[in-house]
Amino acid sequence: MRIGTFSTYRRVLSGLRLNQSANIRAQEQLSSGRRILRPSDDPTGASRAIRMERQISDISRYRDAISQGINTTDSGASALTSASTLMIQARELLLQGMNGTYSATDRAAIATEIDLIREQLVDIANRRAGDTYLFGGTATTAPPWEEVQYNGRSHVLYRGNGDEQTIRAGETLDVAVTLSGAAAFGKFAPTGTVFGQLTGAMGGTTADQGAGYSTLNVRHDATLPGSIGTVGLGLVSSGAFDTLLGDNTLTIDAVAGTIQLGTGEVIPLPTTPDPNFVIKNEAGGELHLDFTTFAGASYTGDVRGEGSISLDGVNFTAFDGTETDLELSDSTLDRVVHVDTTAINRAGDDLVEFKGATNVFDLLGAIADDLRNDEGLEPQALSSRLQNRLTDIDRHHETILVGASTLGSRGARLGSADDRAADVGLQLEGLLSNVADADLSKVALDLSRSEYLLQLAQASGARLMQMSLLNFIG
Amino acid sequence: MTSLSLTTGLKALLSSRFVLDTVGHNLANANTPGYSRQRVNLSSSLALSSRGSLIGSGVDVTGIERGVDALLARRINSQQGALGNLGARLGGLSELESFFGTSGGTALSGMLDDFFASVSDLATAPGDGVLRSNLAQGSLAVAGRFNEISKRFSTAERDTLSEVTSLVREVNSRANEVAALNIEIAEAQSTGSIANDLLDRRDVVVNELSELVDVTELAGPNGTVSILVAGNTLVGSSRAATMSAVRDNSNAIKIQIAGSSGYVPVTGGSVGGLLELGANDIPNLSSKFDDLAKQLILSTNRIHSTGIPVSGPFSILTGTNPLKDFDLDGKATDELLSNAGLPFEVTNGALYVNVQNNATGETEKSRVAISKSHTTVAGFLESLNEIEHLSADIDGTGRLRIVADSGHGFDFSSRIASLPDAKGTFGGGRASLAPGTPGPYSLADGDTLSVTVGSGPSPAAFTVTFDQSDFTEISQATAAEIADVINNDPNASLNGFRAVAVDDAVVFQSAAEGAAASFAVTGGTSVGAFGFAGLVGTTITGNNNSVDPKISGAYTGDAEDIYTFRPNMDGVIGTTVGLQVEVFDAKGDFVTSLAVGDDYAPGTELNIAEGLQIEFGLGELSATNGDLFTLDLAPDSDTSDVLVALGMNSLFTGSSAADIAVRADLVENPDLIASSISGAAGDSRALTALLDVKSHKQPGLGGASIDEFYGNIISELGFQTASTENALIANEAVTESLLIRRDQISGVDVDEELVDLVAFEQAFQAASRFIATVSNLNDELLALI
Repeated sequence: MRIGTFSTYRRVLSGLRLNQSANIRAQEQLSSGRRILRPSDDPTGASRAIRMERQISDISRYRDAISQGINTTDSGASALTSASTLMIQARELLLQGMNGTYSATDRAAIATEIDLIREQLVDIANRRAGDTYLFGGTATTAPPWEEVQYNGRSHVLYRGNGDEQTIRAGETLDVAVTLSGAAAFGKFAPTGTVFGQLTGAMGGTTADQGAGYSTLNVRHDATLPGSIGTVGLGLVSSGAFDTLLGDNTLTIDAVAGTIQLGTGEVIPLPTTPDPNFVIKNEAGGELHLDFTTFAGASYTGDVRGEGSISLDGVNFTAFDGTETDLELSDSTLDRVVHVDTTAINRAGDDLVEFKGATNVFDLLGAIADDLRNDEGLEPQALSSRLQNRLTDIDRHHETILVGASTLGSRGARLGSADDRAADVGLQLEGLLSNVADADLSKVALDLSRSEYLLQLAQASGARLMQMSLLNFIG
Repeated sequence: MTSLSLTTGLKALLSSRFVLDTVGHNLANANTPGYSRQRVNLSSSLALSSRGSLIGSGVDVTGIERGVDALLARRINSQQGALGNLGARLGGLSELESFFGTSGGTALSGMLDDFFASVSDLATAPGDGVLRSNLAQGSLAVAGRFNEISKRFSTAERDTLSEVTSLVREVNSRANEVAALNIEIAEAQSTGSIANDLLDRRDVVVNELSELVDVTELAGPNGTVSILVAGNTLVGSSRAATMSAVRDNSNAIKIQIAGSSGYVPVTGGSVGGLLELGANDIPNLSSKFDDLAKQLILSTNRIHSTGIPVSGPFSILTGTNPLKDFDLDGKATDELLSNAGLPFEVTNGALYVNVQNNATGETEKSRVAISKSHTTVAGFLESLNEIEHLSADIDGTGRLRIVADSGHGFDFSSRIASLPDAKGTFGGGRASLAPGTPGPYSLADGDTLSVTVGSGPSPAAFTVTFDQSDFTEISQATAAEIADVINNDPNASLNGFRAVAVDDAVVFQSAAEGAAASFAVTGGTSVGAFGFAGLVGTTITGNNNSVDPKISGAYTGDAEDIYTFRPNMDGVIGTTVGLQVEVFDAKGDFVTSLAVGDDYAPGTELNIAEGLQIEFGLGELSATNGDLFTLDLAPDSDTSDVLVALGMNSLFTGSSAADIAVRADLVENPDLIASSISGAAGDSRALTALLDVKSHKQPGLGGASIDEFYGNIISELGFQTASTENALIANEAVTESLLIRRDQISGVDVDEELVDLVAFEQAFQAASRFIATVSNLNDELLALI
C-alpha cells in the first residue's frame, strides 16, 4: 500500500491534537474543580446540577427565613415569660391586698405597685422585634395596645388584628411565628355582665355587648319630697345635694325621737334645728333636710328621688324605677348594656364588668382601683370582689403561659425544620458534588495519562518523520 | 544503425530527464494541498524491422497522468459540506451556550435565585423598607438579565446574516475561480494537452466551495465542470452566477442565485449550517426563552396584581398595557377585552374588587364577571363604574385607569369583606324587608307595590309601579333591576324608601336608621310575587343596635362560593332562646348553623367553615322580615387574568424576554410592592404565594415549573451542542480516512519519489553510457577507415 508522506504528517498531527485536547480538558477540570464547565459537557448532568443548585438555594432561603422566625418566636416567648413574672408579682400583691390586716394606706401603696406592673405589661405587649410589633397580629406598624382615658376610666384597647405573622419554612411548611395580642393578653370567654352593687342597678333581660370595664353613671336629678312641708321640713337647696333615688319612705317618730329613710338606719332626730340634716337610706342614698322650721310631729310619707343613668357619662337616660330592660350604650367604646332599674336607690358610679371579656391590663387597673376602694365598698363586698379578681388573674396568667409555650414550641418546630433542611442541604450538596464536581483523583489520572500519551505521540511522530530514504542516499 | 542507436539513447536520456523532472515536481509539491501525484507514462518505442528481425527503438514518453480517484474526490467534497455545516452550527451553539452559563450569580438561574431569595427575605419581615427595595432591585436584575440574553439572541441572529453574507462573498469568488479555470482547462484540452495542475487547482477550489455550500459537480465538455447548488446552477462551463444572501418577508435569511427563480434551499456547508442556526436553533431557543420570561411575568403578576401594597389600597391605578383599536374605528372601547391587543389572554372568569372606606376600614366586595366571547372594553368599564365609589376610564394612552372617590381605596385581593353587611340587611339599623326566597321574581308589566313610610302622625304613602321597560324580562325580574326601579322612583327617594340587591335577593329598606325608622307594605299587585301577602300592613321597624357581623380568618376553600346567612327565627342576639343563624352556600346547600341565642355573648367568635370565623354584635334579627346577608368567597380574585392582561398592579411589565421590565413607579417607590392579602403591614401572604411561582407546574410551559423549564432549555441546548460536536468529530474521522485514501492514491510518497530518482538517475547514466558506447563504436569504425 502506498502511504503518502503528507498523510503521515497528518496522522502525527491529528494524534497530537487529540491528546493535547484531552490534556487541556483534564487541566481545565483540575483547575476549576468542576466536571461540567458548559452544558454540552454533560447535558443531563448539567440540568441535574442546575436543579440541585436550585434546591440548595431554596433550602438556604428557608433556613434564612427559619433563623428570622426563630428570632421572632424567641423574642415573643421571652416577652411572655417576663410578662408571666410580672403576673406572679401582681398575684402576690393582690393576695397581700386581700389581707384584712392591711390599712387603706397600705392597700393604696399596693395599688400603686400594681399600676406600675400594669405599665410594664403594656410595655411588654407593645414590644418590638426590629421594626415590627410582636403582639399586633399582622398590624405591625403601630403599637397594638393603646391606653385611652374615657369617662373617668383608663382603658387599654387592642388596635391590632387577630392574625398571626407566618414565615415560609419549607416548600409546604408555613409556620406562624407570633401570637396576636388578643390571644396573648386578652383572650375572651364572655360570661355576662356584672354590675357593682352601689346603686342597685342590675342586669336586664337582653344580652349585653362589650369588653373590659365601664362605669355606669347613675345621677340624681330631683327630689320629690312628698308632703314633708306639713311637718315643717324642707329640702336643702331644692335637693341638689341628695343622692337618694326611687321611692323611699321617710318615717319620723316624734315620740321616740327617731327618723328613718327607707330601710336605712334609724337615727335620732337632730336636737338643734339643723339647716342641713343628712339621713341615708339602706344603700347610703342621702336626703338633705332643713330642720329649721320642724314642727316636731311624727310623719310617714314617700320621698322620691328622680334620676337618670348613663354608660358613657355623656348621654343620660331618665328612668323611673320601673324599667327592667333599659338599654344604655356607649358608642365610643362600642358597648351596650341592659339595666334593670327597679332596685336602684341611690346615685353613684357603678363598675360594669364584662365578665370574661377583660384584658390583663384592664384587669390590673380594676384591681388597683379596688384596692384604693374609691367606690367605698364594704370590706365584705371588697373581699369577695378581690377574690374574683384573683381567679381572673390566674386565668390571664395561664393564657400568658400557654402563649409562651406555644411560641416556644413553634420555635422548636422551626429548629427541627432547620435541622432537617440542613440535612437535606448537605445531602444535596453531596449529590451536586457527585454530578458537577470533578473527581480529582480521576482527573489527575486522566491528566497524567494524557500527558503520557501526548509524549508518546510526540516521540513516535518524531521518529516516524525522521524515517526517510534520504538518510541513506548519500 | 548508428543513428537508430543514438536516437534510442537520446530517447532514453530525454525520458529519464522527463521522469526526473516529474519526480522533482512531485517532491516539490509533496506538501501542496490538493496536489495529485503525477506519473510519467513510458512505453517502448515501436520496433524497427532490420534484416528480417525487429529491433527495439527505445522508449517513448506517452503522457503525464494525475493519480486521481474522481469518485473519492466527490465523496470528500460532500463530506467537506457536512463538516462545514456542523462546524458552523457548533460555533453558533457554543456561543448560545455561553449566554446562559451553568451556575453562579451572574447566570440567569442565579439571578432568579436571588430574586426569589429577596421575596423570601421580605416575606419574613414584610414591613422592612430595606428588604423591600432589595426586592425591587432583585426584580430589576432579573429583568435586566432577561433583556441582555434576549439582546444577545437577536445580535447572534444578526451576526448570522453578516457571517452568511461574507461566506456568500467567498462562494462567489470561488465560483468565479472555477469558471476561470474551466475556460483555461477547456483551452488546454482543445490543444490536446492535459492541464494536470489546472485540474488540481480546480479540485481544490471545488473542495473549498463544498465546505461553504452543498455542491454537485457535473462533468462538461472539454474537461469543464458545472456546479449546482441545491439543483440551481452556480457555475456553468464558462461563467459563474452570483449568489447573494437576503432577508425574506418574514425576516428570515435566504439565499438567492442570480438567474434562478426563488430562494435556494442551501442545507450543506457552513452557509447551510449558519442558515439552520439562524432559522431554527436561535429562534427555537429564543422563543423558549421568551416563553420562560412570559410565564414568569404572567405568574408573578397574577399573584402581585391581587395583593395589597404596604401603603394600603389604591386611590388611583393605571394599567401598563394599552388597549388597541383593532377595527380601526377610532375607539378601543368596542373591542372585546380578549381581543384588544393585550399581551396576555383574557379568559372566562371573574374579577373581584374590594372598595374600602378608609375612615372605617369597612370593605365591600364586588364581582365583575368576564366572558372571553362577550365582555367588551366598554362593558368592563361599565361594570367597574357600577361599583360604588369607583370610576374607570381609558386614559389618553389607551390604558385603563381606575380612580376611587376621596376617602376610599380599592384593591383586588382575595381578602374577605370584614364587614359583609354594609347594606344593613341583617339586623341593621334600617327597617328592612326581603322576600323569603331570592330572585328572580315573576312580576308582570304594571305590577305595583304600595308602601307607607313612617308610622308617625303623617305617614307617607305612595305606590311604585314596575314597568316592562325597566326589565330585560319582567317575568324574570332580577333583584338589581327591582332595586333600580325603587331607587329611581321619586316618591320612594322623597319619602326615604330604598331597595338594595343582596346577591339574588332584593331587600326593601327605610332610608333612616334606628328604632324610629319604619315602613309597611300596604298592598299592590306585586306582593304575591314577592311573597309578602302575609305581611301586608305589618309595620317593619329599624333597630338602634346593628348586628354588624364581622368576619375574620382566610378562606381556605378552592372554589368560588357565596355564603348566605339567614336567621332561623325572630329574636335578639345573645338573648332569645334557640336563635340561630343558618348558612347556605351558592348551591343552596346547608353549610352550618351558628347558635346566637341566650348562650351566646355578643362579640364572640364562631367558626363558620373553610377557615372563616364570624362574630355578631348585639341586635335583633327577623326571619319574618327576611333578614339576610351574603359573603362572596373567592380563593383567586382574578380568574380571568384581566389584571395581568391590562398590567394593573403588576410587578413586571412587558411580555417577552426582550421587553420584560419592572413597573417604573414601583422601582421608584418600592412601597408599591404588593406584599399582603389583608392590607396589614405584617401580612406577607402575597409574598409567600409569590415564592410558589418558582416551583408550581405551569400549563404555559408544558406542565414544567419555571425552574424545570429553565433546566430543560439548558440541557436541550447542551444536548444539541454535544450531539453536534460528536457528529463533527465523527465526520472529521470519516473525512480523515477519506483523505488518507486520497493520499494513498494522489499523495506524494517522498521515499517512492526518491527511489524513482535513484532509478532514473541510473537510467540516465546508463543511457549516457549507451550513447558513449555507441559513439565509441563509431569511433572504432571511423578509426578503421
